[in-house]
Amino acid sequence: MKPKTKKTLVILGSVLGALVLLLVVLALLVVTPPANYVYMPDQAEADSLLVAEIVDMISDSVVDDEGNIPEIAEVTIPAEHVRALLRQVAYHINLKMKDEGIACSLDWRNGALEAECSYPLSESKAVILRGAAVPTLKFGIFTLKTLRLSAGYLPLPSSIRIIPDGISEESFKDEEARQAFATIHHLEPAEDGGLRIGVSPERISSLIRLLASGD
Amino acid sequence: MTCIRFCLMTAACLLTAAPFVAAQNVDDGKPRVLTAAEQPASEKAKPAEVKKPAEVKKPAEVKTPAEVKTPPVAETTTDYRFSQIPDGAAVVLKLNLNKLYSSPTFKAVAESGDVLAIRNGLKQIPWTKDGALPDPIILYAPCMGSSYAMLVGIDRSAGEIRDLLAAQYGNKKKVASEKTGLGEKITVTYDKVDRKTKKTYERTEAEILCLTPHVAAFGRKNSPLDLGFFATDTLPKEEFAKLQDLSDNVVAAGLMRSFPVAATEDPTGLASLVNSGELTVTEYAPGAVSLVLDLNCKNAKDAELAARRMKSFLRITLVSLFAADKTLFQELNKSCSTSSSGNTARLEAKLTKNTMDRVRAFYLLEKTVVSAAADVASAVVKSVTGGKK
Repeated sequence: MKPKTKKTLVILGSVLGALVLLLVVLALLVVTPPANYVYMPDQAEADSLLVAEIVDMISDSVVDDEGNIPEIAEVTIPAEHVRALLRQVAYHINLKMKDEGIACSLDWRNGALEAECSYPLSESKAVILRGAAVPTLKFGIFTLKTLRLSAGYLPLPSSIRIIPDGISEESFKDEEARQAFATIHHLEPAEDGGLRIGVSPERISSLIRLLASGD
Repeated sequence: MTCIRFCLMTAACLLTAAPFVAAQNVDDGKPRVLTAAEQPASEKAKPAEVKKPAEVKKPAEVKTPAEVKTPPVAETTTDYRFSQIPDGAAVVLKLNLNKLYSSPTFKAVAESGDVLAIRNGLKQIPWTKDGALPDPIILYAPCMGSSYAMLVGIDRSAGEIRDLLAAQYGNKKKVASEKTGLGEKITVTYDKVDRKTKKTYERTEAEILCLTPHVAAFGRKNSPLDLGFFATDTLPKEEFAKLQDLSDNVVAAGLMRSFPVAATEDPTGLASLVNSGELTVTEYAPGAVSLVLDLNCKNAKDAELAARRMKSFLRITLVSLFAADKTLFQELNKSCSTSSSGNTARLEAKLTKNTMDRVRAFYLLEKTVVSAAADVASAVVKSVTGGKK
């Protein structure tokens, strides 16, 4: 073998080796055991009461003291209640995704939505995506501003936009989902760490349908 | 949970629908009250599983905010009630179908929801000699394999019904009957070809189980009868006969009990509070409708909370249906109230003829209300049956 060829092979081998090593390191950082988010019955019961209180809050806001209906009813949901609602949402997502082995956890801290999603690779391996983002809905567009993002132990750039173009009413093909989306006029984190939400009372029937159907 | 959701949604639905079902004529303009002599012996002897409205004390203290006034309940008479629910059923509901369809305005709502399916199913069978459509008693039973079954009053024998059906369908459908321990069962079936496999298979169109000479259970292809359910039910036969006896001024009457559900399946937060409930919609005066929903809770604190939950739900329902006419909304909002007394939470609505006329006019103008009411009605069935329909 010529020395030049030998040198080329060594360089190539080193690069490949480095790449493999990098992939191994990345895999070690990214791949972890799958997460299992257990929803304890006691917690579910407590959350259920808090979620029912959210309905009370909305009910109080859609009619003022004189019995008039405002054009937009605004309600600030305390952080504790938002957390309870998100836990219930996550529970239902997990039920639906059980067969695929996908599990997630949703939380609300310091005015930001925190999410963890476990995507299984095998029975004992999974990639867990973790992130925090600030949700806002203004002028009919829902966006999530990423605060932090990681895959396993590997941090990802927070410049990654979770929803590149935002979500608008037109994003939904299902009419019921479209109407439910249209019920929300605006949504943003409140100063006290809760969630400020403005709903259109005239369109609130879609909320009832969602509640009634249990979806 | 399903029955509580049913309870609320039925209340909401009927609250909207009630104005349109007010019949034009009532015997004397007053509801008929069953006398002690008219009460079946079984009811006298047995302690009722759920308190009857007469036994439920009038709400003495209004727990809800001041703007929700409690109208006097003296005129609201429940002259028909069920004393118990068969084992396994969550809800027993009597629908005065003929009354519902006597109003052209209500017909629009009834024909866009599940009531139409019930009515059409009943129309297939020659129940009575005069051809009148019987008012069904619907048993919503999440514990059954099917969604619901209906109890129907008959004045023909099983043999007569079988022969009439056989003559009616000719060769198009098969009519068979068999003796069971519960009575004669008539089954109407037809052959259907599967589009993909091209195989022919038999589908059941209707099942009729003649439980007594006067009462039959009725199941259809989407909700076949579960004989096991009827074999184990505790409803005595004389109760079946009583269930047929609904006076003209009652539009709907129902009794429901709460089934234990997971907290995650309780978005209204009511399931954990309530043991059972009773609903009555009555025409208390010509053109005027009264609705009373009593929820029997575990204790007074739960009853207070349940009243609060009902108020929230009622308010959101009224806003969603009537927000386009704000004065009408206010009128309706004042006509409805929630309260609690002892272990009972009560939702009641008294709608005068004038209010109902306004609602009727609004209803005809606003197609969206028709659509929303139909959706609510569908949601009732879906929530009761757990989406199995």
